[in-house]
Amino acid sequence: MYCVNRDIVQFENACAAWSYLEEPESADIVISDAEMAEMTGFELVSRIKKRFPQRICILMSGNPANEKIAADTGADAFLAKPFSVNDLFHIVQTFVVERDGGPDPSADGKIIYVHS
Amino acid sequence: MVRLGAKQSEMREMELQDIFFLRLKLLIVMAYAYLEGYPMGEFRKTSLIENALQVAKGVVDWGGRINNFRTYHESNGEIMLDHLFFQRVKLLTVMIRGVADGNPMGHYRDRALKENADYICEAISFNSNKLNMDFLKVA
Repeated sequence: MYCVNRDIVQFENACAAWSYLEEPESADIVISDAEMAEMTGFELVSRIKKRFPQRICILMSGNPANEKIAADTGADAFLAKPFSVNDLFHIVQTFVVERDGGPDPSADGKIIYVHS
Repeated sequence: MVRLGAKQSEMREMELQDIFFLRLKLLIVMAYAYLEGYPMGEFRKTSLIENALQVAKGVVDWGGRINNFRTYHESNGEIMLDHLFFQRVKLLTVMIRGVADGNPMGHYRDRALKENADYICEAISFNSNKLNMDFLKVA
């Protein structure tokens, strides 16, 4: 929230996140844990990419085996745990600032954070 | 696909200490951003307060006296933390809360905030100059 100066919407499971994300204008960026109960982050990303391919999807995991699955699922980025402040800033720079065409990020896009 | 974070061989789930230091480093960035005069705004104020609260909750100075407790980072010899460090972190959270609440600062408080942030940076070997913070200059 601090870096992007926008609200961050949080969910504790992917099913609830997906219900929210089904609305076309709901979010630009989704950051999700890979391994969660009920619906995994991989499945969530799969659904998002099928329906809203322009949305940015970032998967996080501490399991090295999940990196390839993330790439195969179509994730835009893989955040390997443990990560640092530097990595989070890199995400903001790459997917918020540069995507919006400069250091003046649009104030409208929402960011969704899904974690178990 | 962009890849960020730990090397494959070093990947593991994040522990409480990892999150504590992540939040602490962000708190330091927040302090420097304020001192540089970067724009604040309501979202940033809210996250300042929340982060300061979380860091204050997470500051546990065991002093190595209970069950030989050491953080993961201390065990690896990456940092050595003493009692003064933890007190300074608690002070940083109070200072940041003051900034977010709009309390009057002034030259001496700004200087004290900078000195405290500098001390903590040195203790945890954190160089915030390496971060690209240009996007923080924009509201």
